[in-house]
Amino acid sequence: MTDLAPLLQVKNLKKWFEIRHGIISKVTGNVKAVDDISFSLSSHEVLGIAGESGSGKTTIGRSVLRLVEPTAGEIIFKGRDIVKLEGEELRQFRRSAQIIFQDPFASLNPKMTIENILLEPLKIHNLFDSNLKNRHQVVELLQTVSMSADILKRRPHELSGGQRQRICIARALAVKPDFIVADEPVSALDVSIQAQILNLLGDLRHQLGLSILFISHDITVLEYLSDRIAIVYLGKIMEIGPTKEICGNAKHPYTEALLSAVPMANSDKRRERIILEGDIPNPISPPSGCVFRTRCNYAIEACAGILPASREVGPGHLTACIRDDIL
Amino acid sequence: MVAKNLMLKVEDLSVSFKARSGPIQAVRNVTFSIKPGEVVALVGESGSGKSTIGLALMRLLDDVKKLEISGKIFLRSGESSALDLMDRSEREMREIRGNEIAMIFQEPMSSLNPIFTIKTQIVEAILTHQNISRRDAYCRALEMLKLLSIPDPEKCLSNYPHQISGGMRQRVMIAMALSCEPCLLIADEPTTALDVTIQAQIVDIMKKLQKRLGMSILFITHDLGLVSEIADRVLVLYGGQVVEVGDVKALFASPFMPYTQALLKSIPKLGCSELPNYRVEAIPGSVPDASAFPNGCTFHPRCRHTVRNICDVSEPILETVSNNRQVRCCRWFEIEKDCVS
Repeated sequence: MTDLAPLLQVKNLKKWFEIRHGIISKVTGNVKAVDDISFSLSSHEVLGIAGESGSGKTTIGRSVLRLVEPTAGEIIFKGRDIVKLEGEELRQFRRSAQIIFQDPFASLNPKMTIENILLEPLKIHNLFDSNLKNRHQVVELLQTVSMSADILKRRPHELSGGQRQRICIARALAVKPDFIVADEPVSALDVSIQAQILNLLGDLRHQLGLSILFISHDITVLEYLSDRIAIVYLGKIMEIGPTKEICGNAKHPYTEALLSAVPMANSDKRRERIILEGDIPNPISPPSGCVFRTRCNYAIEACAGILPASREVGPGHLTACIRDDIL
Repeated sequence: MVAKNLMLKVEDLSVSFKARSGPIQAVRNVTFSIKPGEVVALVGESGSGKSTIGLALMRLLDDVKKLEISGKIFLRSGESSALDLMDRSEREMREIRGNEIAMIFQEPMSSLNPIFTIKTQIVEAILTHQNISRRDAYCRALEMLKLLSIPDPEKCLSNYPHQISGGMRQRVMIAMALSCEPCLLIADEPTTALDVTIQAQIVDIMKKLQKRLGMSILFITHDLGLVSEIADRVLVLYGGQVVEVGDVKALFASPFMPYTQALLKSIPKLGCSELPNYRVEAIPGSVPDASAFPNGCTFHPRCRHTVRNICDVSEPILETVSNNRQVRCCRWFEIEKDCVS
């Protein structure tokens, strides 16, 4: 990357959830939701995070916003380690980093009008001064997400799923953030509505110069919107690189399998399917060595022994697999 | 006329729920058939009526109050053992459910009873429908789990539903559904709650079993990609109506109905990062309200080929275009058939 310092740099992030048992709440184990993950995000960049359920992708998104407290690691946002921020400084950080959640039916307060929902972030961040000016701002916000001002007095239940997700996006944009975590923003929407939201996010990103951490289980959605993609499995990054490289020239067996599992409407280009056996292992006791080895078709004995280090296979393209002779 | 043998023939099926604000028409005059050994997919967005059709076929809507259902459903039409499902009593339906038609649902956790072991539940299903000993039923259950390539089936049988993973639960559901060798399986979004890699496993197993047992499947889904993986024929639903019918390959290669075209174009393609300036085309607006459908063609407010005084006035019929191909659009012959691939 020719950029200066990245907007966000995550170094060796870990989030272990403790499992407690008994009346004295003795820690009996850890769920390693995120285990030693490092990546960076430049300004105006969209980084996609792909993974199955239980891979830790949502925990990554929440950790970088400090919505869950990381167990270890550094999260450097604009040169400052946000893990150490407290009080007013943390609040200032939250102004520049926002989140969009998966389910627009659950993330809007049903008792509030759309106007109040959009004013709330301004109130929290003390940007609320004169009613008239703020009202103007709210109307502008609605315009950015292509909605008209006549819904201001309505409540969430009167809107459709797609409209609600637009309100969630508008709410996130209300405080003019530089960085947005979009956690599965289209998964709860109908197929015909997904494209509307995807295109809206794509346009906003260019208009407003946003950096987005885009989390999804759907690799085609990520390919459409992201500049780079990170593939996570059991709390670890398996492969990270530019979108074209990941989708066209995958070097990790898991990425290969994930891509081949995507059902495609275009049956002419049917590829050979790689069907992975078994399920994602329990994150309380992940396999030794490479965490993917229990389901990998290429696993050899050495895979159980060592934790594969990321090795560079192209510019900015890293893969965590010891076998360089397979893909 | 030689009557063709059909596994299932549905004629003019309509379902509407009565609400205070007026009737909600979930399914409107749906007619289709499934041949023996055929996999037919019902595709539609939420609110298109696809699940309601599945439930109506099993006569599982009978207990719903304020519901109106009309139409005819024939099982094994054209054969001597043909049955009109709409005329069956609840007791007769019980015999048919499980034995002749089985159904699997989207969320396997809510379809299994959490307080009984897998063994108890599968054995109970088999004993309900077949006159065999408990011992034989257990062997049968074990055999079914083996057929679904469940590792260590004995252990799986002794587990409770919460002890096994989502993919395994869905396999157990399929095993249970197939344990009495039904001739028709209705699968209502069986892989939607699962991860893609697990979905690939389940679809693979379903395909293999379908070939091996020769059953017919009605596969209900919203995922067009999945349809092309599993189905022989597709019915596209919109607003409770069938809007296009065709063989999978032909339909995806050149969809006639603007809705099908738009739907296919609104999904990002794998490999899209290689295409310069690729953009998915969103369908404006949202799914219609089933209590107040627009006049004329149901899709016309969102359609980019709408012509005023045609599409918003006359309601198009499901026209047979060619062999196995039907489309509900007034203008299908004049709009460009810009295909997706």
